[in-house]
Amino acid sequence: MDFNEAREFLKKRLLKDKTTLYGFEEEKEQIKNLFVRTAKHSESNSAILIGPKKSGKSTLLNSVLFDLVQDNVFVSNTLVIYLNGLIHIDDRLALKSTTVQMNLEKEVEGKTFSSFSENLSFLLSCLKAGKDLQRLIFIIDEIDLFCTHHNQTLLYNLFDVAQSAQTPICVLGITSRLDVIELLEKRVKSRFSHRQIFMLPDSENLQGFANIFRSLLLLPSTKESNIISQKFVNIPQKVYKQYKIPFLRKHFDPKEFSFSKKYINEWNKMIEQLTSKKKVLNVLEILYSTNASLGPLKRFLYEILSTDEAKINENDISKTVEHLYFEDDKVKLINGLSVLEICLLISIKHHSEIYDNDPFNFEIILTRYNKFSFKSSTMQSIDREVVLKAFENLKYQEFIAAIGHESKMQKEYQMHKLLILPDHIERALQKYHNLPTEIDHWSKSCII
Amino acid sequence: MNKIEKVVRKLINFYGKDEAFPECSYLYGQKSVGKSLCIEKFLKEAKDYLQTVIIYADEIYTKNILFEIIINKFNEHVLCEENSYESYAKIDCMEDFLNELSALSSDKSYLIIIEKAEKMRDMDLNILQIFMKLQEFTGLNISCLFVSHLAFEKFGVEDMLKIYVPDYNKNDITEIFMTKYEDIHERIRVKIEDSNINDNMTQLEAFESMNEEFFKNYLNLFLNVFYKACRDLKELTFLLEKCYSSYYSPVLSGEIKANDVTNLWRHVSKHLKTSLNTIYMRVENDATNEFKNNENAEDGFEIEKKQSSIKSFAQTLELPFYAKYLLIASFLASHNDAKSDKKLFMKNHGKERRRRQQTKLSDKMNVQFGPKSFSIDRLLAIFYAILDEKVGLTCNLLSQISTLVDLNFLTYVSGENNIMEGTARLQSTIGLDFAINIGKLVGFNVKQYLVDFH
Repeated sequence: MDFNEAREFLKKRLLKDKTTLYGFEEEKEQIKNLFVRTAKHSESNSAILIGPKKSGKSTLLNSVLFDLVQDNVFVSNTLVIYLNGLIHIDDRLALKSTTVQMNLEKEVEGKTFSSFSENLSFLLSCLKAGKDLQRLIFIIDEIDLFCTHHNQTLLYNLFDVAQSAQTPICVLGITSRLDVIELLEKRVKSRFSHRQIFMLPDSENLQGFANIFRSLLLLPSTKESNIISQKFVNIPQKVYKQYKIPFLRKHFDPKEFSFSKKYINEWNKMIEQLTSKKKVLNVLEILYSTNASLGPLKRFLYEILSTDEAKINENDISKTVEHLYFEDDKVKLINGLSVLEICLLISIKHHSEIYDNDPFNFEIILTRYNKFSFKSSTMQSIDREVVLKAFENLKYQEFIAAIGHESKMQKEYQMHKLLILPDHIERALQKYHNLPTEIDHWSKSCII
Repeated sequence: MNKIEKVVRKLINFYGKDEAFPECSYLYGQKSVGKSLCIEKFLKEAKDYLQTVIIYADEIYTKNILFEIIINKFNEHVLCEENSYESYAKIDCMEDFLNELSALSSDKSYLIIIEKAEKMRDMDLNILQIFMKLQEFTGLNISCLFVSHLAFEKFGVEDMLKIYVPDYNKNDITEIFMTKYEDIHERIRVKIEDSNINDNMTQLEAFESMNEEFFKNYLNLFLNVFYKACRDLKELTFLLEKCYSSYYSPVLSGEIKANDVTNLWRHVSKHLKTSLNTIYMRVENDATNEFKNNENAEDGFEIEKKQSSIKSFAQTLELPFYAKYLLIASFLASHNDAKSDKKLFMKNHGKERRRRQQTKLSDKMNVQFGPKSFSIDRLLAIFYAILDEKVGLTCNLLSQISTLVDLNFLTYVSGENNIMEGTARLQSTIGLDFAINIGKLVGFNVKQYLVDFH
């Protein structure tokens, strides 16, 4: 039973612990500095944090904020506003959300503004009039999406305020696009401080990767759990209400679980042993060379931990990696096709080989298929209509797709292209159950 | 059945009680392999601790519906007369939706199941992206399970946990169909007992001899014919019951003994083959009915004649003689180059230069690339060339063209309103087989006049 609990604990920590950062100390310090300078010394700043997807950008930000909100002064004089390009799909929505987050809905009510900047400066002046909360931190997630908005008004205005030092404001953009600076309009670009912080996963430190892998599996000692829990106690209640970033909501608290000291030792010993095994190291190397980011590693661990087995063993780990990295969805799906559909795929494959990936239509494929089926003993007596249905099923599965949009054309003549590689077909055929031998021969050579 | 249980097990591993859910996961497999069945079974086990909503993405024509269904379900708000069918909250944009979600109790676990998830790709760009990370935005223990028949990469989004539902093999399908045995036989019994035929008793006696083995033999024959062309369980189930009656009817009438498999096969094979050619079409054809009513085995020949659909359609098509020729002319005009008209249709088309027999570089044919358009002038010229008789260009003849258009054998490509000017261009919509059959009716060899076959 203890194992199940440990499993539950680790799974929960993998998903809900959004503040523990592995590595990237320097970047964290940089961002923390920016925020502190705004909060303490009323400086204005702008920066963009760039890193590949699932590399831990949000975690980095969360860990910075988590550290900062421990401080009562920071909480009382700084407001963190969170905007996301996926949610705020235009500047109007973004401004509305900003108003709500600044708690200024009442002040704005009934007023009309002629322009965006007027509205924004009104909000800022309201803020100034207030006693506390005079400093603003704007966190703009998926900032590349804001670049597509009309005139990039929001970005322009925010950067403008940051540059002209009217109100102490810090604008931090987050994105996974390396070319985000190129997306900014000239007048926006010139107002941006050009401070870019890159979060690139280290691609030459397999040992470090293995260490992270291990520490994600280790159970913390009672003392360590206490330290983390204490941090939550320190956070002022106000934060929970004020902050739009939900990382604090239902945050992982290690104290929900309690393990005996003996068990912790036992478990950690087991993990140490496991992670030093050759098989496991091989698996880690595969993971690492595919993607050095933390996201895939966490997902992989989650999959290992979601099991009925009573133990984690190295065979399961290598089996999972095989299942994740060496199996192809499409090959599996092709294996579920009927023999007739397989025959059509083979015809298409032959056609693409002979005509160098020329597009094809149903008639062409049918002719090629019929050449085979007339001589075959298994595939006789299937009508044209049924073959057409099989052809349409391939389209439904998106193995082939129509090109162009000639709606007036009859569907038999509509040109299609192949969306899978001939290699996929070959690999699927090797695994296909009870494939008639003659079809197997035909698949290898188009001469009948 | 084991396969299904494995998938359910996996689902429970991911979405277990008191456990942290993954942000999202993807359940995929060929169509009709039991994806929804897996979910149903899983939900039965998980109903105590899980709040679920099932969305059918193809019903979502605007995003508000999507949002409102989810919010209503999670707040246990049922649309009824008391609330005048208004939903729990009015939700206009993504932010409202996320706010409503965040307002839910964080003690419970939530799961959104999206069937036909491939349709999510057609919705606003941000919807799929946000549904993939609802946990990040709401802080709840919430997850999204996408269900689809496509390979995951078709979605073009970041990787997520994937669960594959394997397809049925022949044995699985046999096993599934065997569970239907009692059901089907009970129905047959009732039918016999209800019928007012005098030899009710002999029929019942014969019915008794149709045991499980008998049904299994039928399944075997049935799958031998159908399995190679179709693996869709739904379609197979439909066909299975449709064809069964013609398998057992000679047994009931006492013609063939229930254990005489060879004769039974001989009797039913023709019927199975004709049904094979109407797969997916759901045509309740006369032939099937005739088969049921008339147990005379000789009729098999008649049926097959009727069944080869193109042929029969061409033969029963009541068109005037000239219209048939016009139809052929239109087919020829659509599938030949105008360049080759001279060679094909003129008796003295000049000296044919003895070119070296050109080796055909490709086996591509005009017929395969679909019809090309032609003008009415060309149509008439070909019409006169292939027709031996002399016939005047009367309005009766011209009206045949519009008849053919009405019947959808011809369509206008352009200039629909300029028929009299001669700029209108038409296209033939019939296929080669059909044209050949029409040709046979009027004694005309169509292939001879096609460039492809020269």
